[in-house]
Amino acid sequence: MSIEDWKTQIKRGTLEFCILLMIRRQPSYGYEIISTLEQYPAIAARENTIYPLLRRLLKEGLISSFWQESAEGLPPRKYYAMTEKGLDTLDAMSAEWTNLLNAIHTLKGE
Amino acid sequence: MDKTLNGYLEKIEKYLRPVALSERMDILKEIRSEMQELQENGVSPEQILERLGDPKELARAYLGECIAKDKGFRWRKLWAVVSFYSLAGMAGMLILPVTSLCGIAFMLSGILCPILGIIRFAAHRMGFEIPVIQVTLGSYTASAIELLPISIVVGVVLFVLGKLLLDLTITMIRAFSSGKRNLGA
Repeated sequence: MSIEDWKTQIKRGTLEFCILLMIRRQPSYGYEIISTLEQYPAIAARENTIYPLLRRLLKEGLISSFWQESAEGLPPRKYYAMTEKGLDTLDAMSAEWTNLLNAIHTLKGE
Repeated sequence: MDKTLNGYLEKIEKYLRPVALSERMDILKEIRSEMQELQENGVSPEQILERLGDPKELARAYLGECIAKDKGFRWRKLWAVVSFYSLAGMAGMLILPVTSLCGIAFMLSGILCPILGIIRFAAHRMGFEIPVIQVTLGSYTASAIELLPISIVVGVVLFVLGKLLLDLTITMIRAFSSGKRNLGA
């Protein structure tokens, strides 16, 4: 297994978690989410991953969306916000994440 | 707005034609919003297009999510499946059409088979035969009465097979659309 494949799998498995965490912090729009992710190479992803993924989270009812006018001269933006269902899912994900970290921590013998 | 950027949006719109109008318009509005924001930040149209990547790939990712999310069977979905594999390259061109078309053909046959069995049976009860509708296996030929249960069983088997193939297609589409190509930073 190449290390790149492994990194891709990690990214695929954690991207939804990261996006939900970001949206819980504050309602965010697509480009904002992509720019924030770009700061972290481990979870950076392009438009053709993030936009369809947001749409799926929307259809699953984990997030909601609304269009909002922005500053002068800028187009309206589509913001994404958390739903109750999304918060529940995020809690479950966080718990599992802690389990995973604990397991790795133990296995590493730290 | 820049002509090349509009051209990009037009391509996306074309590829996403199987998606419901309101949803398609929403998708385009969101992409346009990002284009305009990048332009305001001084990013050139060429750089914007490079960032967004191949319009086919973006459209395919959207179609993949739309198809995979939608559990039911609708003609629009079939259309989306066909459009998707026309964008999915060689593997999609060969495997997906076979599994999806076989799936649909099997399901239709599964529905048709018991209907024919019932027609033959009903005709038999009313005193005439329709020899065109027949089950033959070697030297054995089913009578109109035997044909009824046989056709129902065969119909159910075909329908279930077809459904499995269609589900397989959707699983593969899912795998294609979340392929690692999309995850490059």
